Amino acid sequence: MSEITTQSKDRYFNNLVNGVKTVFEGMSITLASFFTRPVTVQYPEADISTDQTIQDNYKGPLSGMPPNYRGILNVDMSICTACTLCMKACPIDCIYLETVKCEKVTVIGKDGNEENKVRTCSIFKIDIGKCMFCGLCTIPCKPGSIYHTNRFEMNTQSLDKLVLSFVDDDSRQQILLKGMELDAIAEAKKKEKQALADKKAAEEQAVSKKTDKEKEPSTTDDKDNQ
Amino acid sequence: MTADLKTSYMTINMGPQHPSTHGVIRFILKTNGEIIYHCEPDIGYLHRSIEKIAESVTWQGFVPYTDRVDYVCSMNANWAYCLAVEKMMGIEIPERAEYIRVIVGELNRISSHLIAIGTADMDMGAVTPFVHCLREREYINDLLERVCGARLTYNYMTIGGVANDLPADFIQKTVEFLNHFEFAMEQINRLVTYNRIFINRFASLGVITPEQAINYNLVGPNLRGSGVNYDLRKDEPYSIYSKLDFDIPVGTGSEGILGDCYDRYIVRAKEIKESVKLIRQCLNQLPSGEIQAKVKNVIKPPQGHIYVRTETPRGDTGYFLYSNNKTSPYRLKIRTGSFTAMSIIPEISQGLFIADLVALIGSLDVVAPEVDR
Repeated sequence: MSEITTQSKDRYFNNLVNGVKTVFEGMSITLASFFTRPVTVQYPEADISTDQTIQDNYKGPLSGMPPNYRGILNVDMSICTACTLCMKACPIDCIYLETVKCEKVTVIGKDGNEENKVRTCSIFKIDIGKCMFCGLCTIPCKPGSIYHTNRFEMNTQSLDKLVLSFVDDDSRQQILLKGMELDAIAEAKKKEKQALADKKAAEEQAVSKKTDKEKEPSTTDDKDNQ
Repeated sequence: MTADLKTSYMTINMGPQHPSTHGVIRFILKTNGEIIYHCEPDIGYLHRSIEKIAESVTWQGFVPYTDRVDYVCSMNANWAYCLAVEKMMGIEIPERAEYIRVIVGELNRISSHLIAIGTADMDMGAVTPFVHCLREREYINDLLERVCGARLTYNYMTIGGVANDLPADFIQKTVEFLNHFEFAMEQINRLVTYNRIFINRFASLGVITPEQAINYNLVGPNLRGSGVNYDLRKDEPYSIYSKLDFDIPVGTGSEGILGDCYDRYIVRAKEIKESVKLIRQCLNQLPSGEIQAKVKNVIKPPQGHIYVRTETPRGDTGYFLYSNNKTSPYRLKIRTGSFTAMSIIPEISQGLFIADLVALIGSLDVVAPEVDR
């Protein structure tokens, strides 16, 4: 009985000493961090958008936002070929666009490749309120016209303002008018072609009828031979 | 007169908004004074029907949703899903992509375990270690942000590889970080893990025996904390884990009883060191070459089903996919470690103090969105 009590007594005092020791060890670490540089960034004062700008007001170890940061989407309409691949890639359908015909031009994408542009967007809207910044729309875009910016601040008081439109009303009118004009021209061309094709078909039919008549006796001959 | 006096259990709601439940989970406690008689976890507050969403989006379009299943280790969730689709379609991914996947996956595992350790400390009332852990996690967020452009919902892995190559200074920066981190982790351990008061608080508390752990299908560090040596990276190796050299830490009951809260805690602390080892090996062996296998824009896996498991920080995450050769899955089912961890709480918590239940939940490292999906 006495053995057990001395054992538990020893353990009790060991624990006590150990507890005090480890607390002081922890305190020494806490004290040591008083002399290290703060890691936190004073965000609105320090411009964190790039590594260069962050250095003005911040001396800590963290770096600024990288150039490939997935922020608010932007579209470069001058190189967009209106292929609608971004709209199809978006899993939550926050991109909406309508396309019309335009005069054929060649655009040079961001990676230097040339792309043919035969259609253009009359409506290109992105609902940033819905967007989850996954970056799936930027992957299929060949010219690289849709891309993420470093921007992430966009506080507004109404949800409508979060719908970004990349085609303004004036240019939309012009684009639609131009599209209708081109459509009319294409329609006329189509009709002309159709008329030509009809004519050709009629002539061919007439010819083939003649040849059929000539051929008919020969085929019967073959059958007889067999 | 004494016959009319009755003592009944008092029902207390812990949660849904409770700082120690790590998200929106509600525990219905029936208490006898300070002691818990019965504890029933009430889940479903964070249900977003991600499995149903999968049936309406494309196979590639579902990858960002896997980020949201478990946002503390979304890189590993991406990995599990992409691996399942690749196995279904028989896609071989380039070797460089495999190495990159292991590097970013293990970095993410470190950051997830840092959160687990930090929040377990904070639940016990030690706020300082939590801040230390989050400070170290910030460096990892910085590294991963440079790789993929996001800090939390990475969407980095694609079906057939990874989305973009590592930036030029990534290897140098990662090695710098690891050198710094090994020292910092030792400091965190000295600050809290080896602290006698902390050990006495956690040891011999919430004991889960190995049999119970297997019966309730506990996975990952919770299972290994009970002394069961089972890790999918070793026992069912996927990716390039079979080529790499690392150990699996298991609980030993060094400070109390095998399978107590401290065992589960120390397994995580040790696993961080193993992850550092893995990253160093991969950085040394990193081959050059392609990062993306050739995959069509619109993919339609062949008819059939598959179940693929990977080892994520919260245990094994399984993706069951059923394809009927269409552009979106016919059925998708996600199985996660946090869900099974919730089911063992009623049995273990019986007879504990209310304050000890907080320690138990903290040691199980439950993340609410992973429970509900």
